[in-house]
Amino acid sequence: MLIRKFKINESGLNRFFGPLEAKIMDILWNDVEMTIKDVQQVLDLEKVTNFNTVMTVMNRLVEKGILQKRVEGRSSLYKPVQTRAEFLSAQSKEMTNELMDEFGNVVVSHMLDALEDVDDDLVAKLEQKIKELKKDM
Amino acid sequence: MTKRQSSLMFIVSLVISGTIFLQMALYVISMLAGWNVKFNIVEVCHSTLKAFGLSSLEYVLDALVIYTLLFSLWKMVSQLIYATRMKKRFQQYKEKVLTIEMNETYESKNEDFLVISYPGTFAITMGFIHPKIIVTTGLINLLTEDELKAVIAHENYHKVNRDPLKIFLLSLFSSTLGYIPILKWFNQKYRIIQEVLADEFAIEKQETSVNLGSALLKMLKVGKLEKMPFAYASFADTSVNYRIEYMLNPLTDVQWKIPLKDAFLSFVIFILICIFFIYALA
Repeated sequence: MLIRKFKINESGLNRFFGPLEAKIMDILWNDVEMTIKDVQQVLDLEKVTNFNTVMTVMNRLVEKGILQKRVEGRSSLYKPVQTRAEFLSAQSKEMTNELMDEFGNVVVSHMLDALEDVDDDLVAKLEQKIKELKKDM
Repeated sequence: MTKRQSSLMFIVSLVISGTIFLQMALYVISMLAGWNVKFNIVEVCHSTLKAFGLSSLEYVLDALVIYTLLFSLWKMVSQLIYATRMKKRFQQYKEKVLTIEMNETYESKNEDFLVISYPGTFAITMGFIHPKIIVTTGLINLLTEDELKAVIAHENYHKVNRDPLKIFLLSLFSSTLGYIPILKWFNQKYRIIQEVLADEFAIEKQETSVNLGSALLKMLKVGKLEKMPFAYASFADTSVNYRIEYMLNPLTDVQWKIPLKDAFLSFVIFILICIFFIYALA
């Protein structure tokens, strides 16, 4: 589930979602499962929001794979596919990958290069040495 | 390895590649302008091929010259485009307050530092004319103040030494002049030496390897944990192990044996080119 339109100048959830989407996600991440009506009622506490608008936005989030919908009796229950932490971690990883892919073509000097080639024994020795040096300080 | 040896490697690469590029460029210009440049190496190659009855190979030679020059041009243009795009992206991520603070802390008048609001943990030096050091907020959060200073000192070495430009040139030479194999070896080893020398500089500046070593360990751990694609850079060889070895024992000198076969082959090819050149001049 990759957010295609990442909004760089926004902050928090608004970087990934529209304003109403962000509010809805914030509500749903604080609860287990909710109906459209439940979400609308919480939104109404801050500002009156039309039921159909909430329904459209939530169904769009289902289509995007961010929410999942489950029918129980006559009502539909919605919940996020990932937890807030999982979502943010996945998005930040995606952003990093995207940035690094671009980096791949730019010549830069940097602190670390190919990590997969690191010798674990050497890392362990360095760890030991740093510990000893810190003790002596 | 010393700074002198690293400079020597760069100069040798520059001389070898510069000679060939200059000849090729002169040849193309003479072709386009209709000059009769008899001292040109490519022109001499043509005459020699004709003398041996291999005039059809002229076209192969022309193709090689045009391919090399076009490939080099494409590499330079694409580098420029990507670097411009990257610069723009970094400006969007710019963390204004921290950028000002860092420039003040390190007394930089030319805004040599740029802090970007980014979860990844890295510090890089980029830019050919006025290299800048880019540090992420992720890295600032990960390291202690002294560790960050060590990383900045490491990057500062690259900046002062104009490593992005030198690395780009070496990478350009090794990829476009593949028939001189030693250029590839120089390109790989130069990067490693520069990383070790940058570490040496940072350690000398702080008079201890604790901070740099500790920063390196943290970055390695986070990098592995996050599976950050640090292998993105076209580094064919890794310098991390050499750097750790240096930190474990600063007296150990990093030494490599020059690949004799590649060196000999490169020498022969280059000498042949020079002989043609001298012959043409005579």
